[in-house]
Amino acid sequence: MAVSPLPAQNGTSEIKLSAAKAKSLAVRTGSMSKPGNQGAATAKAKGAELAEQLNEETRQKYVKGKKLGEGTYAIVYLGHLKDDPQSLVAIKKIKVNTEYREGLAMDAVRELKHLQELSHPNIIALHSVFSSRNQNLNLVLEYLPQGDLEMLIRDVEGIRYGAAEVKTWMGMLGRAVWFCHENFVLHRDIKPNNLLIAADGEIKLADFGLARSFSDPYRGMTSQVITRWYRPPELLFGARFYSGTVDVWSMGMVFAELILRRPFAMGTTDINQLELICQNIGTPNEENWPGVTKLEGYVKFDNLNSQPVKGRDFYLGTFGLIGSVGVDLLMAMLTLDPRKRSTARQVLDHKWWATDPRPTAKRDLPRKGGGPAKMGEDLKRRGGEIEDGPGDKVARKLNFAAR
Amino acid sequence: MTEDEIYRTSTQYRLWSFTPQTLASLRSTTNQLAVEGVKSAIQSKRAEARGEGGENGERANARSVSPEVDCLTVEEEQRLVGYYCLKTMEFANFCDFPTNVMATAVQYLKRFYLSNSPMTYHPKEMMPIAVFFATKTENNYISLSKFAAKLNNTTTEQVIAPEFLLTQGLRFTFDVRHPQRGLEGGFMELLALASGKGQPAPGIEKSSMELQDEMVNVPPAEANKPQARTPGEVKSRIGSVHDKAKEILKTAALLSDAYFLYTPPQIWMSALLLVDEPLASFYLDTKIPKSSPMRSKLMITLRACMETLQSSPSARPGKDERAACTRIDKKLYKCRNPDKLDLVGMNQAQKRDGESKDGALDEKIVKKRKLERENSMKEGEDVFGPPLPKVANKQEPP
Amino acid sequence: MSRVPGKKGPVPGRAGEDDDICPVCKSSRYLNQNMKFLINPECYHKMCESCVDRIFSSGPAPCPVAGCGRTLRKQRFRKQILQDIRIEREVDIRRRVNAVFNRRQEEFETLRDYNNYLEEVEILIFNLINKTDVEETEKKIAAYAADHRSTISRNKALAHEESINITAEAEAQREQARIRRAEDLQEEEDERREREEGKRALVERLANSKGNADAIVQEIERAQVKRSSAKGEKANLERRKENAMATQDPFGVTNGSAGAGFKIAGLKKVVEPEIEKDYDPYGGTALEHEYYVFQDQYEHSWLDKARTNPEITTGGYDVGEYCARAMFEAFAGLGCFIEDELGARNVAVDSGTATAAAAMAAGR
Repeated sequence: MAVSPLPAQNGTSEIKLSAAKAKSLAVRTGSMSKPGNQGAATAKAKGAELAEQLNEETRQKYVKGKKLGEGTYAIVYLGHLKDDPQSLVAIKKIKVNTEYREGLAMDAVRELKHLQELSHPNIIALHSVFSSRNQNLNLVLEYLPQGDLEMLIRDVEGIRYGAAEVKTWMGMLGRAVWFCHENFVLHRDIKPNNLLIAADGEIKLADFGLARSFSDPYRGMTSQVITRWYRPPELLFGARFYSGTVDVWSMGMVFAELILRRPFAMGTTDINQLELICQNIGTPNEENWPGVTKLEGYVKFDNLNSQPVKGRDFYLGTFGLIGSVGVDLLMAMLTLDPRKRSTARQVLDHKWWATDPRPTAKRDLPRKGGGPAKMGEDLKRRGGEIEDGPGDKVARKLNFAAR
Repeated sequence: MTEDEIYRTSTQYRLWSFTPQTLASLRSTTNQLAVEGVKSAIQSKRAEARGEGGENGERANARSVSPEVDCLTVEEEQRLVGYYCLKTMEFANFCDFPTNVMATAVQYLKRFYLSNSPMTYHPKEMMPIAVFFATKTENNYISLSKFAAKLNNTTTEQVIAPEFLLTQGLRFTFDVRHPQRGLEGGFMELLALASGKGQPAPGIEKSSMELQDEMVNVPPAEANKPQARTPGEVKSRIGSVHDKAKEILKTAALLSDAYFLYTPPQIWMSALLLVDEPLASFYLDTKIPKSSPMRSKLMITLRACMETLQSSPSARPGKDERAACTRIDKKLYKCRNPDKLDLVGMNQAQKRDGESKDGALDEKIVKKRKLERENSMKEGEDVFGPPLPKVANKQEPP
Repeated sequence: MSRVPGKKGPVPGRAGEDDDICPVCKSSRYLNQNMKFLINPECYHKMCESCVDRIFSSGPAPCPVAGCGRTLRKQRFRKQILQDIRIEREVDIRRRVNAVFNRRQEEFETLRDYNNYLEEVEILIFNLINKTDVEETEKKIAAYAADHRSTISRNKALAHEESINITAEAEAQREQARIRRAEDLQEEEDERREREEGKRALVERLANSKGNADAIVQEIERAQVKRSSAKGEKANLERRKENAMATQDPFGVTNGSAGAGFKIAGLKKVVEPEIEKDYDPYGGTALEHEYYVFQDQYEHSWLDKARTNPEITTGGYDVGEYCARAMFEAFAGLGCFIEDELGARNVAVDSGTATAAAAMAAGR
């Protein structure tokens, strides 16, 4: 791990202690009369609320280093603990949009809310949060210098891998998604470039800007989530009552992409995406998906003389690399009817993990070494965005009315 | 991993759970800091007024305050915050927001006032943003203008201005774990037990039928009440217990310190015990056997939690309580920190600062900062919050 | 190997001139050219093959040598390998003891430990050879063999593997040499042919042209030199490549002693594989319910519509997920006693107890 364990996180510095410290600080300031360099630091303690002091305490723990990347939404810096220059972190500074009248943007709210709660080896760790002056939010994240999964998939010439490697990566992704769902959080933006790679080869799910908690009945959710190429048919049909299986579809698309080394269905519009799903996977109808024609955004595809759902032979032909058991898993993840699709738990319970080949050990995985700059690129994006990909931006204007 | 281990990773456990002693010392520290802030601010305001002679109403007011400002006590602060928690509930209900938005907003206020004092930020001004922010975090977002329209005489700017203060007070953790959904889980299990389909916790050997039989024989909550004899009667008993417990969770659990001191399962279980102790005990038997040391430990905690719930401020305050709050509010009028009155102005100033910054600080700002710092040295306080220490400025990339 | 001093002594069996006469039937090699002598490691008394056949074919029988009388079996008779029967016996003892005490140096922490062990074993061997405390010594050996069966068989396999590798290596070296020789021969042949071709070309050109004979000769010679130096370079390159391969070759087949070191390491892995656990798709973080058994269906009238209304279910909404969450939240934290746990946490703030908790949560 590039990031050595942090002695204390935002969440961990004990309030009681801080309170005691605050007291002593306040006392010291009171007796302090001579101005000087440390005057600035102590002056702020005077009259500052405890909340402010706690924030200041966290902020003082980190040193911001060079800029790794900048987007419209955030700037990413390399940083480290003040006490330990070896303990690298990435600091994602979310820009306050002065034009945005609604206050803190929903992406930031979602990302903060969920990352603060989820701690799992396959989910990017949020070590701390603090605000710098001008109300800028700084997220202190685990430093992941090895780029993202998309880089490995695209480098067809430089990076060779086989079924064993695919199994390792899918296992890590599967655990990340399963853990989110186990904690009742939908990620809603799973795609290769949100899967960052740690120094030891571990895959880390990042970007929780579209995540939300789920499971309550009668509470509709927006269907305008998940980057188009990875978006399941129910969302393309405008379904507002969905479940964890939306993420499983995305996982299935990533699975297919790992094997094909290109996205499985690269729609240019939502309609085109549906067309590609019909062609490559099968056309949804009342038979394979009861009730689908009643969905709000259902589109009938007359001109495409309805493709039957592709059978095992097709998958074996196209995705033979993962063997017949692997193909079963892929098909279970890319099932049109979300009720029949595998859940994240079922994915992990599948027998493919136990069949040969055994997943490659983490240390033996191919790596490309995206370096710090790549992490900057990955983190500065808002959720749902791909840099200069034609027409693959997810609609950022979330339909909040639909909730 | 077990359920408990996962709960221990939550921010509610890591940051927002306290022993009663810690909670008390935290509140007194906050109060103490606020008192110092108020006193020094008022003093400097008076000095200013005397020196410059530019008198307006506020200044005149400040002059009339005796050097010994009569500040709120911890107890008074608590009562006032409690009162505004009630206001928050009323407002959220008036807006037809779901229970989780209301409950989260109330907890936001309670958490915020652990490290902030009403003397610095008046709860009246924090209440709208607590609710608005809860609509964001609880997936019930409505636009700010629609939201502000629900409040009388409040602009969008007034609602949103303290948002940053709120998030900072919440230590940037927005998830609140409520006991409501857990109660539903318990309710579902009780119904299953009544129907003869229930199962005990892993490790306890009892069949569904045995449990159903035992359940029919659970004595009534009050001696004079008739015994529920059939599964149907047991189910209606469960139904009424559920409704009453739900009401406790919506009121006493939110208004007391229960969220700080206990975990959600402990809270709803205590509510169940309050409503129907024999039934709740029977249910606990299916979870942890009476003989287990864990059971007695749990019972001590649950009894303490029941007490906390019972001693909660009333959700329907009587005349006396309202009068007391009005009195505290009046007292507060005289001991508010004069520097923190204009939240909108403070917010704009900070944001403006943010816009002009970005990259190298231009000389003007540096000079301004320096001046401010020097002033603050002199006056011992700082109008727009503290400037950054120099080191931090240097770390900013060019 | 320690030597047993002296030629004569109480040890049975005689070496020397009367080697050609069977001590049992007294027939002599002089009369029977094909006579073979056999010994039995039970008592090491020598006798001829026909005696062995005659006496022991019908089952175990006492040794016919006067004063011996030990029970011998025919199948254990074998040819004498060493001339001195006492040494023959010692070798046999050593072989037997070492088959049991086959510890390897790498199994010991220090060389000293290993030497101490060898010393111990040597005492056992000495006892057997000199027939002191035989019974006790045999008991010791038997006990050790019983206690360490798996280690013994593992080391035996190791040794076997090694010997195979040594043979294979020698074989590979021989093969390599053969190939090199063939290549050299081929090269020589090529050179010879080229030289001849060159000569022929020269003669031809001299015959057909009217130009300066010297110039033509020089030109052709130059061409030859060029060709051969190019060839030399090529050969050099190949040799270098080969060498590089040899040093890289993990099996050390082409590279003698350095390869042997590799082999031991490699073999060790085969015999003691890292015990790889079965792959856990949950990575050790699977959730176990402590307080409840989750059921497929829960009764709750509020949920009925969400189960049946197609508007809600078609998009994939699953009431089961709500039930799972309700049950999880009903019990997640029931056994977390804040007063106890956080009271302790407050004491040890600076040691980062909370971080440890977070780390635990991360499954690390």
